[in-house]
Amino acid sequence: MRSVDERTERRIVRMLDGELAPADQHELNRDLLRSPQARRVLSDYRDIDRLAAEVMTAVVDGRCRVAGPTGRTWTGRRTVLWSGVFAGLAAAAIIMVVAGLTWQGDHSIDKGSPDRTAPIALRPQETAGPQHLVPVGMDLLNRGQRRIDRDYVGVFDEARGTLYVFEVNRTRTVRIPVAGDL
Amino acid sequence: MADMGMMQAAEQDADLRLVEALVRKDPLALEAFVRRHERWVRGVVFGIAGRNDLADDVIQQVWTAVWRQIGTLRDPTAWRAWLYGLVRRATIDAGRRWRRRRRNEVTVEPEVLTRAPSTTQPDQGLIADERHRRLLEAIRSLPSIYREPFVLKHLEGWSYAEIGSVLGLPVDTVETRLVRARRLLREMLQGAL
Repeated sequence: MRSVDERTERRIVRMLDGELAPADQHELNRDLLRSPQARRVLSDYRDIDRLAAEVMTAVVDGRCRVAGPTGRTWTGRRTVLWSGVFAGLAAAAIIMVVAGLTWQGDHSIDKGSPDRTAPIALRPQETAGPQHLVPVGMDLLNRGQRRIDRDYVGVFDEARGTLYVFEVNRTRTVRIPVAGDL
Repeated sequence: MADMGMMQAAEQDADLRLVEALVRKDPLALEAFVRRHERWVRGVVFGIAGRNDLADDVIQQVWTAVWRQIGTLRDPTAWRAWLYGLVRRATIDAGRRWRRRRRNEVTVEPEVLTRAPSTTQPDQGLIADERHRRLLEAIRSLPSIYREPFVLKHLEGWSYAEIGSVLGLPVDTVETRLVRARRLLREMLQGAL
């Protein structure tokens, strides 16, 4: 966007601000004669100055109300910075939770179950039909260890020497502590 | 040019006498001081915050602080930089209070740019003008390090040296910031000028 060199631009601004030394004025006149871009910049800056004076006079005299944060003041920048930090932390937390759930999902005990909506186990009580009992081998238990505490309850049938796993929230469960080395 | 210089010197002298009277806790001096500089203070509030809806709140605090703290002004000729510091602190505090209030409110005041109710009919259309509106938004979105000197220059017509003395900046830095402010505004207003 900058279409003139920095030195000419500075001279233009100094002239508009009444700060240009007479010697520099000659240089600037020469630049303006030579360069249409310099003339364009001068014209644009003049317009900006004129409009800015009108607008700011209206603002200061209270003829228009300007409210709300700009986000660019010193405190505003700090706010923006902190907002960014909090947004970043929140995003990181969400990613970690999602990644954790996905990881757990990959290791879930019922990963291989053909029908994930069906209960995978029932209470080892007489009311439960034997067809619903799913014996779980030690290898499967180890793979699903992470979820046992949270989503599954293991029930050890001492008579049969079999561990049954109940999925919490799908089946009413009875927790039976399992003793011994599994 | 010489007349202008004499007028400026007379103004500065009048300000200095008012400040000295303020130091003596003369209430009439405060009244005159407020009348002379309220507009300038409003400009500074806008320059710092990029908004003017907090100005009444800030100004009330500033004049109270002037009355209470005038004794801390060691060099009466440096009153303007001292006053600028008071306005800056009060503006930042007001901004913080506003943000706290906004957090606690159910309905949040949106960022607005509206015409204030006014009886000055010819000026009411000012902000309705697209170029004025865009320029005002562009000025507001300038970083405050550029906006502050730009507002002081365009409201008060101050020299680089005067702006530098208030902002605590060398003259070259003031010039650089004014160049960059205009450059940014020109970029933001591309096609509207």
